[in-house]
Amino acid sequence: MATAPAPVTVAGTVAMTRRRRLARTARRVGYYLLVILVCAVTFSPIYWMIVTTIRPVTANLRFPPQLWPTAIDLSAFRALFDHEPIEQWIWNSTLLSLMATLICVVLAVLGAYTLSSMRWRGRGAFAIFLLMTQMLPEALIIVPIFKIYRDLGLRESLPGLSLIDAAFVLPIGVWILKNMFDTIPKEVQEAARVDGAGPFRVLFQIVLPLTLPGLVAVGVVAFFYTWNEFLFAQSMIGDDGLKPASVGLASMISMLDTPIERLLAAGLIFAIPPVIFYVVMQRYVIAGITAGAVKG
Amino acid sequence: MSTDETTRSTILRPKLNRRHLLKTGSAAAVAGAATIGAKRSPAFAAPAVLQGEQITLRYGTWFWYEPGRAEAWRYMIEQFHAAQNEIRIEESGAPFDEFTNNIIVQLQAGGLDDDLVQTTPDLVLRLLRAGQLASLQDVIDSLGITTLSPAHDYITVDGQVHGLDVVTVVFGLLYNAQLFEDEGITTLPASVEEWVEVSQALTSRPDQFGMYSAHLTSEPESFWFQLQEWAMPFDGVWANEAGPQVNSEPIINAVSLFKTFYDTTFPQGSDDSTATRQWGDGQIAQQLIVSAAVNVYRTSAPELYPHIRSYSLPWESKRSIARIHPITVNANGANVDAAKEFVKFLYTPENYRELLTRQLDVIPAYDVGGLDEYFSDLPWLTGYEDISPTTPPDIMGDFIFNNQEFGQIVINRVTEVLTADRPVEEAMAQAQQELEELGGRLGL
Repeated sequence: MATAPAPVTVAGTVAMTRRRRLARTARRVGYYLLVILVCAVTFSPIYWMIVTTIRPVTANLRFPPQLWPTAIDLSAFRALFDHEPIEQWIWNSTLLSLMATLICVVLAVLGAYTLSSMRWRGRGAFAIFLLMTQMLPEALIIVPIFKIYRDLGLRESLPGLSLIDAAFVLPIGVWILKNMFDTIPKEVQEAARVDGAGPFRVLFQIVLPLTLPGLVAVGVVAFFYTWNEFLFAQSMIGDDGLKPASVGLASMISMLDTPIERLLAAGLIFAIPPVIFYVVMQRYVIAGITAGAVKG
Repeated sequence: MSTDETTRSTILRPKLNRRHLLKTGSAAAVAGAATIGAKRSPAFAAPAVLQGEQITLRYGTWFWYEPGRAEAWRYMIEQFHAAQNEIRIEESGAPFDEFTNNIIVQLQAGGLDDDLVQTTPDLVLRLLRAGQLASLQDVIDSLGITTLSPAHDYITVDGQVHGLDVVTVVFGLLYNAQLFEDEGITTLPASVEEWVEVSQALTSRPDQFGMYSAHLTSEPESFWFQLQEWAMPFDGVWANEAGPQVNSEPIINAVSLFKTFYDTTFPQGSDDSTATRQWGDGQIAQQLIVSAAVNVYRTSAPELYPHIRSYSLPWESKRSIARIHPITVNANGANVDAAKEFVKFLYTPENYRELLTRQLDVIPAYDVGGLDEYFSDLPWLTGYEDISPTTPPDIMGDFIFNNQEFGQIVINRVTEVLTADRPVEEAMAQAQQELEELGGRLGL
């Protein structure tokens, strides 16, 4: 005997709608709480840097620490520009990063295109081998690279240093671009070849315009890596006039007397160029990384 | 026996006569006053003029990054430049925490970059063993110096000294006399127990801390550098000819004492630079630290400087680590003779006195004389005067060649004691095992 369905009343519908609305609101609140939590964790060190640099030095030694500055003192920035060649460091880092980015993007394009569009023996093994180079930590290979650079007279040179930085990012750049190039239908490239285009023309006129976000993504990765790189820069560059910012900042740290607020002020300034670079390139980066990640 | 082993044993054999180190310093003052006179020469002694084109020497050191010391060295180099035209000195190097690593990378890549290399007590041995250092005996002989501190014995091979100390530092107990007075402490500690008691009485967290010593793994160099001294109250050694000794009773006692101080008196989590600020701000009462630190404090904490004092180490042996920092000449460089000229300039008595006083150092490397007046103007010096110095090779054995690696293992385990309350015996037993494995890998 079949059971008759329960009658749907207006009050029941209203209650169900309210429950759904409540559940939706709860999910949304939970979502925003999670976002706030992640933002808090991410931004708290930056907030702390800012607070430490703009409050009086004596306040930095108080416990419990002041989360909100009660007085503003910008002397850390004044002292920074008076005592340290921060402009020179930032300029050197910018030059270095742009050079490494350019080298990396150019070589990654050629490498990725070779892996993606050309058929040759050992192609797969070579691609894996490229990735394996990423598994070697810098500290492990610093000595041989240092020796090679000394023998070649490439030390104390920003172009020389940019080669190492580019070399370190190149494998990941090749893989990002290879995955992007793989998403372009072969028929498009074949059609161009049928029309008489050579491989370079196909690359520059067909493939690259369609994968611009990938190029930008590789550029951003290379720029960020080079901007932050320390070990090679510190080992290869001793000339004060050539020091990039990562090394310059470290030189402010001494055993007994590191001016924390000045160091953090330098850190803030150090962070600005990459942030601007990223904001400008952001939409390409996301498109590039996601497009490269999905095939088919 | 391998070549390495032969060299190592040759280098280590002539041990420092511990009683001599500071006695040399005090004798220097007395003898100097009698022979040379207390008045400082107004003019600098010029080096012998070299023939030919101008030579630029690179002097690699971390001194350029140290307040007070950097100014002293730049002043000396200015004087050297003013005294002659043939040789110019160019600054090179890196901050202390990166300096040794950089030199080791250079060494492993085939040789040193700089003509003059500043060294630490352990780095100088590495370079000596690697055959990178020129003999400086001719510098000493030409200046007629016969009273070079015995601290140089361990870098003297076949009668040839291979580095000349430009900074001798020795650990002592510095304290803020104002805080002691405010707390009503009139009797200074004379035993380890009293030291603990007084330090705890001076602690009122979070505003005031009775004691500070480096204790963060993020600062491995200074953590290990200072931790080694904590074995001195118990006459401990970290390693000897039998191998690592970190599970021995004196070292267990040392780590336990460090833990007691950490728990009850340290500003936990303060790094060196923060602690320096806290010290300057009157928040830290004492530090077990090298005499050279006072030079930094004079610059970074001028208000505190008049209140800095030291007291006699509160353990019977008065044993304390003295570290010489020899300037060395790259034997494989292109400018060995010119580099020696600079060293000779530095070691000329009037120049050496100028360097020592400008650095606010207190232990001359040879009988330089003329320092009575200077010493009498240093009220914080008293606690350093009766110290019985010992050297890093004395407490590290053959591991002195791998001091950093050794220290990294020790501080990792000590950190577990400090922050995870791991029993000292258990942590140091593990450290002992790891160090024995390290010794095995290094062939020690």
